Amino acid sequence: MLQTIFEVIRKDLRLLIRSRSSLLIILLTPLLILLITGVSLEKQTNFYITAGVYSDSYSHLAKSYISNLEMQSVNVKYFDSEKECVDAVKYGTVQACIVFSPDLRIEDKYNGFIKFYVDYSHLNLAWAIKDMLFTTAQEETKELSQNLIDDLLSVVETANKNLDLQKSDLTNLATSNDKLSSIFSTISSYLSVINPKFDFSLLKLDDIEDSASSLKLKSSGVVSLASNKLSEVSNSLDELKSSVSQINDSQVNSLILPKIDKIKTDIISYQQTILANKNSIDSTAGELQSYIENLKNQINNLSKILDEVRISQDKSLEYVSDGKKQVANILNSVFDLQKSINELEKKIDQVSVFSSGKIAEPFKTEIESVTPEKHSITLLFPTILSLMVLFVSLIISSTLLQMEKQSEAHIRNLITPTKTLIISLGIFLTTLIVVILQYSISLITVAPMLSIKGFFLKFLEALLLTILSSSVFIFIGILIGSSSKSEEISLILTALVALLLIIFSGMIYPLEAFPRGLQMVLKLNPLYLTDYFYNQIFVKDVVLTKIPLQILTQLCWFVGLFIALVLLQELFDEKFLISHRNKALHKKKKRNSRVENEETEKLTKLLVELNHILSPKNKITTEEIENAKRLYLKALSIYQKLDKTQKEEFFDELNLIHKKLSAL
Amino acid sequence: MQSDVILKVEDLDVNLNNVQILKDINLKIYNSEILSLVGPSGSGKTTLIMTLLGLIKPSGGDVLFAHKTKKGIVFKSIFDHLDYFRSHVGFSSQESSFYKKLSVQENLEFFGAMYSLPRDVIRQRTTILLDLFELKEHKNKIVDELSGGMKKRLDLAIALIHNPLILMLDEPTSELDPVLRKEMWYFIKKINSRGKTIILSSHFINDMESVADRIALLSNQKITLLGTPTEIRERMGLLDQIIIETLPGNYDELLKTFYTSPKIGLKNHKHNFNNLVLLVEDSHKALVEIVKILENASEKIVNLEVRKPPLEELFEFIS
Repeated sequence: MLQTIFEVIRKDLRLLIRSRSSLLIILLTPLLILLITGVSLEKQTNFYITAGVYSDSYSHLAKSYISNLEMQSVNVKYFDSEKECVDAVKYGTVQACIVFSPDLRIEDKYNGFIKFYVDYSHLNLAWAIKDMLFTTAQEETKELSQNLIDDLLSVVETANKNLDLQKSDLTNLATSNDKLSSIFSTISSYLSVINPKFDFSLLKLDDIEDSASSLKLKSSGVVSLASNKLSEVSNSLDELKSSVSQINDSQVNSLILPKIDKIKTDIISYQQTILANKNSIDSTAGELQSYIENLKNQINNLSKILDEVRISQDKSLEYVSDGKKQVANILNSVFDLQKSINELEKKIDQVSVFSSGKIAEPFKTEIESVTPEKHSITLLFPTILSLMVLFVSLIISSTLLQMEKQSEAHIRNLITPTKTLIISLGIFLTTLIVVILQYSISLITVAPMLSIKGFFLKFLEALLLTILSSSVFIFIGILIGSSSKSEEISLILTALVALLLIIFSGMIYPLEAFPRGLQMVLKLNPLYLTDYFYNQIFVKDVVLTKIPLQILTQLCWFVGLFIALVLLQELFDEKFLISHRNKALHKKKKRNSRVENEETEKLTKLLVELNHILSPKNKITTEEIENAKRLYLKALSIYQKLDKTQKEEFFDELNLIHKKLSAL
Repeated sequence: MQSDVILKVEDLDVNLNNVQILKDINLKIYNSEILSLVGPSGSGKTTLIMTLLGLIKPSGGDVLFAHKTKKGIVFKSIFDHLDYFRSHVGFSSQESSFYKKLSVQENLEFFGAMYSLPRDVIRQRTTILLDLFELKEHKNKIVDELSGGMKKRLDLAIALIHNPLILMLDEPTSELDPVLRKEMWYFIKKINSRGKTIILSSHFINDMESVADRIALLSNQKITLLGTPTEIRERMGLLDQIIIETLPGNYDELLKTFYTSPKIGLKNHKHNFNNLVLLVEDSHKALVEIVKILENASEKIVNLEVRKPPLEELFEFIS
């Protein structure tokens, strides 16, 4: 069996090599793809972009942005209107259109914008352009942000310093407030102590007045009594004198009477004094009464004043109380303010970043490669290699199978004891050899361009995975070739399958854009897996043992497709035989009809010629008769070959010619 | 005779796409004979050969091949022992079956490998066949560069690379000019002379008379006639063919008279524009009467020919 497989491989390789176009495609295509890609992308990460720009009025900011773009090798083209600029993107004259708002500047009330128009129908390019233009815009914005933040920061710093100063003032304010509060308390206590209430009844002014009146009255009574008594005494004395005078004792008279007179004079003086005192008392009592009256008036005034004082005290107390409250509030506010200032200070202290650059771009958003820095060709290489493996495997296997099926030799192969599966396996191995050859050529060709460490090991690892992935694609190609009736159908199907595999491999459209559930399914795509393998090996420097699941999945494809091929082989053979038989019949019919048509055409021409020679108008020469006979015999031999129906068609005409010739 | 039977077809029915192609075919193929399958286009010759090769599974009946054992010959179904059977059968179809981009020798070697022959055997057989088919000088030529005749010879050589017991040829001379056709028949006879059983289909029925040992006529999905060319003639009554060409050639009138004359014994006829082909039982008796009728009809004899009818025409009459 091995010898048979070997012979099949040898035969297929010979057929491939002897077909110049196939050989050219097989050997040169991968080289060409890799070289072109290599040359065009070596050390080149930027796209050559022409960007259209438009603004009603270009500000300094817009101009700065444009000059930044130009510095990044972007060819800038100015347009007179936004529409023209956008149309240019549509027609592909420019790859992007950037519209700046008139007099683009940074102000609170000014809503400035930079609008980008890109053509998303060129998906990958659109992203790249967007990325490039946005990066420039971001850098520009970052610079502006940095300036604004610088201003803002200086204000914050000043505020912080002022806060420090204000903090001690606040402490003083709080202390003063405390003092004020205690003053208020003292005032309040003093005020509270003041009792402007006085019970003027306690002065008993009326009693004094009464007493004064009574005193006046009593003094009048006493005076009148005293006066009366003195008068009585005087009278008594007069009586006494008279009595003594009657005693005719001169001595006694001399002694007693003077005495009585004196007493009487004294009494009179006394009476006078009493009267004088009584008047004095009366006047004093009068004065006292007026004083009391005055005092009463004064007391009334005082009472009024005291009332006012009380009201004032109450009000003062209220004010003091309010003042205290206000002071307390102020104190609270001061405390709150102090607390706020403390917190603010604390927060300002907590702010560890005071660099405008840091604030404008808090994180240095660098996209670091998980692999060492590689050339773009290295990053692209896995995809190119995957596509090459896909196309070469699919196309060669399906083409070889179709070549086999379309070859008349296939029917002979079917009657040999060798199973068709062996032929398919031969095709499988032939394609695999070609793929391995192309893989090796490609890798060796681009090796100098790739910054791959441990090239030989990676070459072997990738070779193993190439064999696995290629096997899957070859089986698909064989299945396509086996199930297709013709090379055209096979090619169309191959292209369709390749297209589907590419679309759902993430090469054109990222798989991450699909719903999660679908992503899981799409990640089973053998082309995705192939690309993944090469990526892991060449870009991420990952060893095979780290990706067992993906290898297992690809292995499942391999086994599944092989089983499918084994199961379907008999069906394919049966279909081929039926189609072969139909083709053979069709060919036979076609050939017969072609032969017949050729014959009838020849016969018709001969008959026309004969009829012309034998026409009654012509005078026939001997030479012409001989020629006619020769043509007749020719026509006759063709006639004999015709089938019954065709013979009937020509019978009459030939019969007539025969008769004409016989008559000659 | 039973011991000479190499292949037996029993009650074979073949349906393809629900169309009955062959019905109730019974046939024995003998060792070292040339059996020719003839019949009109679409009569099922190719289908029968494909079935005999085991490429088409019959809907009924079986194809059995003689398998020599110690106890004697046992007949086994080819469909149950396809690989074994195929290693003893060679095949060549109307279209040359080889790889046009390979050389003569490469083709032979490739197909030798397909029969799992050892390398030395392949080399040996290749040399023999290159000699046999006079292709030695062209062995390194790419097949596409060969002439039509050489291609046909190579096709035959490939069919014989594994030294089969039976060789099946489907229309081996179609599309060949008479010279190449003759050459082909020569090689077929040569192969047969080396003990190979040959089953072939051809629409050159007349050629079969000299090539085939037996002829099987396929028509209406069945074998309607089977035998050696002589047996077929006998079975058809050993008819003679008289070709008459007269002037003025009122053949319609003449035919009416011929049919009414019992002495002529006219079995069938063919009316060509310039002659009449009559199929009669006894040409001697018929000729006398025919000449009389022609004289009476004032027909001047231009040509008069008596011969044994070619098989093709006999089959034409039958069909």
